[in-house]
Amino acid sequence: MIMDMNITLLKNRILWKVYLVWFVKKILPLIIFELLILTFAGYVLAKYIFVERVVGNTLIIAANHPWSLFYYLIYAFIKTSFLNKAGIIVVLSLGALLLRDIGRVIVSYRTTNQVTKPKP
Amino acid sequence: MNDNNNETLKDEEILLLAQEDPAYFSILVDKYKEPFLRMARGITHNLEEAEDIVQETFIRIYRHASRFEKQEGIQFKSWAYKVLMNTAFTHYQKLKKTKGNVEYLDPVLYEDNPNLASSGFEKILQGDSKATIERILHKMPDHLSTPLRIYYFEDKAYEDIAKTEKISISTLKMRMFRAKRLFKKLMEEEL
Repeated sequence: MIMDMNITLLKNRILWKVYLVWFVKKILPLIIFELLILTFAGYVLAKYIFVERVVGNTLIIAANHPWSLFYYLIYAFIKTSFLNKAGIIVVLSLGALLLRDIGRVIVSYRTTNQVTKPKP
Repeated sequence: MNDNNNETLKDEEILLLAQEDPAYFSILVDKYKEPFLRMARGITHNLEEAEDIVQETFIRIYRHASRFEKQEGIQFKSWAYKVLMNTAFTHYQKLKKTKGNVEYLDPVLYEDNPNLASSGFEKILQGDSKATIERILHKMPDHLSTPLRIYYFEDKAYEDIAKTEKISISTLKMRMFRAKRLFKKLMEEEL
């Protein structure tokens, strides 16, 4: 009984360490890289886009009708310059990748938590 | 993780999947934790030390999975046991540095092999280890092979073996020493 408990504790210890290795080796560098590029792209975009005005206009339009907000954003995107369009696409793509990686961390954490739980 | 699929997966495939989702590694831990612990305990004769070695071994296996993928034609099991033996040896060297003389590793088998990677043990572990060991033991006289077999495979203490063999502890120690020396010689011939 004590031996079984020791083995279960050992297994849990191993799996949490493996999770940590996976996070540090595979995910953390990716998240840091994505955050750096995202910050840089956001900084460059903020220089060329009047964020305050866009947000102000968005709020006014959203107050009229929620659907018009969607049309406004599409219209604003189409009307902006090519460089701004590219910047927005980069930021959105990196944001999506960042969300995916954060999702992977959460899902993996939950799965590891499940497999390390003692079975009834 | 689908349990039905996992049963049909090879160890190598599980190791590969674990690189993307570490929870898959639990399958390998479940499969090898007890044999690893038995082997490490056989080497150290101490549960805590054995647990540390097993834990370190699994982490090394996970961290260096890419090295295994590059070595074609080698089974996961033999590679994993090789990692276990190397980890035990590193652990032994660390203990020797910090605590001085450590007796848990068999000096006859290990002291002459500062690097296990180039020793006969690696070759034994890459092949059919159990069959090789059995073949070597079979070549030895019974009064030498029996205590060796009981000590390493059945994990019994010297006192118990001496009682079973109806000999004194000092005679048993002498026989063990001679048995290990002969085993090493035969192993070198075998390889």
